[in-house]
Amino acid sequence: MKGKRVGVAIALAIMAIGTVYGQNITIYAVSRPAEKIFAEIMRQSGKNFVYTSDLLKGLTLSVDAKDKPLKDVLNSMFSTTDISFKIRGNNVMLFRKKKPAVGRLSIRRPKPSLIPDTATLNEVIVHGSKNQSLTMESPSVGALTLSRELIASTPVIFGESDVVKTLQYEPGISAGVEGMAGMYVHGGNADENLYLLDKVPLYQVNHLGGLLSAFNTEAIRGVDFYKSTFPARYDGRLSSYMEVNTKEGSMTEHHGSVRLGLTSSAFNVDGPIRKGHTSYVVALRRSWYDLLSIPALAIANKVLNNRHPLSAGYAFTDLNAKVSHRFSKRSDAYLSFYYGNDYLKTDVKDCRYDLVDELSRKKNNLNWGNIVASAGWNYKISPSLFSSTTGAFSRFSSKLTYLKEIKGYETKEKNATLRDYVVSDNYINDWLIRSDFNWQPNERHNIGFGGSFTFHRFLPSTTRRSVTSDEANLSGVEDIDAYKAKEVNTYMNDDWELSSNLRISYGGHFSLFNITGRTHNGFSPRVSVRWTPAYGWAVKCGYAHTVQYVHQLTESLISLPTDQWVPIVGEQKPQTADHVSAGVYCALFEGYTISLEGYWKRMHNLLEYRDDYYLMPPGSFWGDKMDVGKGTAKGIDFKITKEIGQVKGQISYSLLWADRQFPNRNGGKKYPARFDNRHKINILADWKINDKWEVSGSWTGMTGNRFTLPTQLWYSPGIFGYEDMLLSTKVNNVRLPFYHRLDLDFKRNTRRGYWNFSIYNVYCNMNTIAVVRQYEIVRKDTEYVSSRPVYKKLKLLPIIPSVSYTWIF
Amino acid sequence: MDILKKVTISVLAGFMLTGCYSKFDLDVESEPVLCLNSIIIPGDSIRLQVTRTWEWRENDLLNYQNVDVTDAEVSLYINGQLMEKMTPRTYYMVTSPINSSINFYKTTTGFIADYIPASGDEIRFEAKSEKYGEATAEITIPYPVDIENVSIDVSNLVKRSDVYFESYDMTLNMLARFSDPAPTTDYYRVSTYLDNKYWTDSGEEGFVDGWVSKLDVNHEPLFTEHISVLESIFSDESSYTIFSDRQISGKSYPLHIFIDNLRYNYYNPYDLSEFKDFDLVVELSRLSESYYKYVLSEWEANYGMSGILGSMGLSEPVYGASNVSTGAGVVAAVVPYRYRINVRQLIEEELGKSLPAILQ
Repeated sequence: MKGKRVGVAIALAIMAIGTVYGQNITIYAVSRPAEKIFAEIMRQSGKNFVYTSDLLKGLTLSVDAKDKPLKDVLNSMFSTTDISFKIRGNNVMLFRKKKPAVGRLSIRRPKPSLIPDTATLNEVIVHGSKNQSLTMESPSVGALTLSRELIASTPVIFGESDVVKTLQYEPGISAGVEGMAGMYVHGGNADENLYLLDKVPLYQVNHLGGLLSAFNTEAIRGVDFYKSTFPARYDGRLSSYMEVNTKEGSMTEHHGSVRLGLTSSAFNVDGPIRKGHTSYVVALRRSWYDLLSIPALAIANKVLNNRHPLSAGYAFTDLNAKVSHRFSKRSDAYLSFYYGNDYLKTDVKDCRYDLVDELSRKKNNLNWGNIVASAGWNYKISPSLFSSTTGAFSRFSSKLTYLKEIKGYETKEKNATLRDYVVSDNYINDWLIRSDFNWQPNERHNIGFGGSFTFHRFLPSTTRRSVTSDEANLSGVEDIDAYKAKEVNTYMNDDWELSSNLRISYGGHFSLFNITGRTHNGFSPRVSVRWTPAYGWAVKCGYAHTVQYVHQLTESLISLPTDQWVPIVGEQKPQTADHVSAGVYCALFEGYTISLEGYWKRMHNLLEYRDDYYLMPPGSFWGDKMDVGKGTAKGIDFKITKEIGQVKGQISYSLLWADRQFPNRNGGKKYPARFDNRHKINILADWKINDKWEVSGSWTGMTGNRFTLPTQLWYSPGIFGYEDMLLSTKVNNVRLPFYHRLDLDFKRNTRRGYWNFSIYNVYCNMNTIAVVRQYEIVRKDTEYVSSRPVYKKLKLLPIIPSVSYTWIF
Repeated sequence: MDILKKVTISVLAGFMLTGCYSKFDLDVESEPVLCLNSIIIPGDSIRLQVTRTWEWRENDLLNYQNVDVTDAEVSLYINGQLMEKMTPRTYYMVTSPINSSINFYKTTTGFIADYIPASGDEIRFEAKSEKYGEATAEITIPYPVDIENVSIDVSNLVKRSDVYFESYDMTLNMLARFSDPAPTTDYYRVSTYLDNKYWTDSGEEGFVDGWVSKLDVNHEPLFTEHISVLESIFSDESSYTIFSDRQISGKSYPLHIFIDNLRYNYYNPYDLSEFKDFDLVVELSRLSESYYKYVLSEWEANYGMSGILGSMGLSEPVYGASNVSTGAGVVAAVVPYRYRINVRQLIEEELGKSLPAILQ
């Protein structure tokens, strides 16, 4: 065994030597900040520097080297410090000499994609390409890591950085409706993406009808995303998995920022509660709309002497809070809380001519959002075995209340008020506990295993209605029973390095879902292989099966508070998907990664609303409104990425075919999916001009969305006079025009923070979101005007500038 | 514009609020098909309109769209037996829409049968056109449901006088009890109107001695059973006075009928001969399923969430519910039961005295 270890070490050393061969460095610096020296070395060598955030605090270095090998340069540079280094592949790992970093950040096998305990790491700064490492070394196909910095620098509408909108620039991901934080991955639906916040699933992840996601960028440490092959620890959705890891507070000093923007503001603060042991972080984001709309409408009502005064307000809020405690080098824990909420309220009155007495009033309140409370404990059982245990409560709820009052309703006896009051609730409560283990029995195996238990309580909808007056009291309750479900998941995955150029990840995820006396089970095998035929090249292929037990009922393409998440019940079967994918990757050119991936996906037991679902009462069982079908998707994702240097960015292209087939839709024939965007091109660039200015830009061009446009009309039978009704037609029979848009983002650093100026849709190409039937005026002469029926493109979003300032303390 | 449409477009257009339209040249295959429309009332002759569908760009606002298909061959089947070949005729059609007190008039060419239908008849139409293909539709005419009794509360009784009339205004709050037959799935419509219109020789409508407001749907929960909470909030339009027996199957139920204003004109100093006594009619009609579904689809298309969002491309479009094989048209049955309330008697009971006599 000892001889084997020596042999491996020699092999690694040879690899390391081979890697550094020919990468000579020329640099001269005297007492310069370490980060600046690293940046220059990185630029010359293409290597990434990996170290914990507290390692270089205030450190300055001196170095004088001319055309020297990297290793010599590093030895010289660190000789007077307590920092040591090791070069592994494309990474230079830094450690303190007296306290070697063992365990969580293994120096034996730097595999960032397989470090399961990202929640326990101090912030690890990686200069350059963590994704390159993920792409070239990991067997995963279609895996991606996003840092907070990347999300923050991606230009988006209103300047509100958003992780989902950042992912929309990736190949194979369609955004859906323009401006929305939709995510349709490899031809899948919006509810086929699993969003995890510190390992806890979130159901409703949108604010403002889907314009923004629920993830506050300031609270994020990093995001892991998978769209083709999936680690065995993930299951429950068909198309993708996004794990958002929130940041932990600094153990040494307090930091914070305050951001004021046009649409929302944010406040963040973190720091130690007990230095070196306990820290906290709080991040709050809230929109401005109600603070503007309520007084503006009040003024307008007053000025216009409005007999129908309207008051309306909307706001969203996100609050993330976390307390982390380090018991010892082997043990740490955290308490985490998330609260996200949207509210919309309107109040319309109908007044008499004196504008004082009310004739009637309509008040509406809508509230919807998430609450997540979780606790986690990470423990290093042995140098090769780590555990992570999480317990959490997660709730999504929406509540709508409607009150209509008609006053002055007189009877023989007295004046009275007629009240019509409606309340509608729906919610999902999850109680879950999970444990994950990571075991490295030897150099070649990295085994992950674990399990979880979740108790679900679904209340899809309860509606209570009452109509009261002095003479009548009518009430009714439309109740869809609450469903209780138990879900058990267990998985095992082995990342096995068979040889220096062959690595395989294999495993499976097993699940049980018990509801209404029935138990469904699902086994999801996972396998992916990475082969390195030559230096700087990788070839991968993989297969994954996924199972989904819950789905979202949504009638529209925007996120509505009445969108319900419901479990499979009765005779319904779980949705399943099979994914086959393969890719070729190249990292020959320093700082550049090129990937070409192909995939094929087949989906079963998909659920869609029937064509005539709206003819059923709102309170009727949702299963009766649904149709069960299938779908397929296939395509190619191509990407070139540059993640180091002054200018970073990526160019991507994707080719996609996606279709669906349902027995009660489109006459039972196959039809193209709504977001069957055949071609999609994204160009994303970030240029750090100097210490003061940074510019980001993105250009998106893609084949337009599909939608259904009925073209034939028929007369009604005179029930309403002469209404024209639509004749049903082929689903998604029309494709919108080609979509393209340029966004720019300018960041200006100041002494205490930075300004951010963004422009959405710089050249104001107003893209079409729908085609509608309208009449076009045809002026024949000054006295006679006629019109003719035409089809018109509805375009909504023009150039939209925004500005914000962030003060950092 | 509906609130939801205002809010959605406003939000999506951001602060600039500069959504716009531009012409779109559509290149999609679109073929017209046959459309059949008929509302069958027991005791009335059967009239079937045979038209065709048309592509949107054929719409012509100035000239009446003539989509009649007069050369079709139409066969009428009653209870599975061929009854007759229907013949095309031109006739004058008057419709009284469900939600309006306005009548629509039109001269149309339709197919009329000699057979007079009755409740329980299974009626089937088969139409064939060389140019537009074939279409079939069938329904079963339901049986009427009686209104067992109506209790009436009169309030806000006010006498009004002006130069031309003397009249009474009042508010009526009624409970109309009926029993839903089990176990069938049944559909109903409620309407109220004044009865005693007369016609002059020229075909113009005569003078109606009063006025009645639309039925207030807010007083009867059954009328809004198809409206979701979000639609209650965002939709500007009230529901129609139709409902199903989903919540009252096999039960006796008092329908809450609220009329905000009924006016009874009883005296004209210039021409007493114009006046006729009249009734307020509370009509409970049993509908075929096709009628009910069509009305729901019309409401959803124009005022419902799906229709509003569908018109902006944010949802699938809402089609007219059709029971014709081509998907165009509605063949429906309406079986009314009329409960008459003499308004003059109502007022006299309320006042405790008789009103002055009028000439007949």
